[in-house]
Amino acid sequence: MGSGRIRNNIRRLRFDHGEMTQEELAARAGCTRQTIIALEQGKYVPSIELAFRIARVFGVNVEEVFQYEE
Amino acid sequence: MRSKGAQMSYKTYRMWKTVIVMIIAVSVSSSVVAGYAFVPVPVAAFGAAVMLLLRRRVNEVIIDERTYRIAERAARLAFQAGAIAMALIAATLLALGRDADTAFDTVGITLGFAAAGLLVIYYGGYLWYARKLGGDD
Repeated sequence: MGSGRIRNNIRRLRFDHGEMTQEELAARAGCTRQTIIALEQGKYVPSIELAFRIARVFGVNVEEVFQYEE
Repeated sequence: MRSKGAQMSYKTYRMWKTVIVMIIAVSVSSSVVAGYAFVPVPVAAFGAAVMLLLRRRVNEVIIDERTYRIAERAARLAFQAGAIAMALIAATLLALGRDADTAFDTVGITLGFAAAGLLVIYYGGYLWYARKLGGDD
């Protein structure tokens, strides 16, 4: 296990996309609302597949949603 | 997979799930107390079928990768704690039943074999998934 941390901009991106609700993002990304909440709180790191799906919902690259910090 | 017809929210589904679980628990426990040992099986099967039907009507995702990850971690914790506890209790019972004329040793042996069986199932499952997910471990 690495000592890095994965941060995300989901909350900001939701805001930038017409204040998209957590529920709507969850439905469009194919996950539960609880997962979106956990992601925004930094308590959960998604799989690569879910990370891509979330990035696709916002129409951006994965790196714009998730960043790895050493 | 979603079926056509009336849809329900996750909150409504959770409420119904709680109600059904409570009905099953009450009917199973009361039938066991009353001595009707055959009642719990159809009741549990009926409850599971109803919950499955309700789940298909939920209009949002209710199980995803995080749910599975939580279940994996809980299962690993349960396995580790359970196997260790069973082994310790088995060893204690075997030691207690060595010289005494009690059923301790029988229970101890049963528990010991159950713990060993659990380890075998775990190892078998580990090998299965290791092969399925690649690698050479």
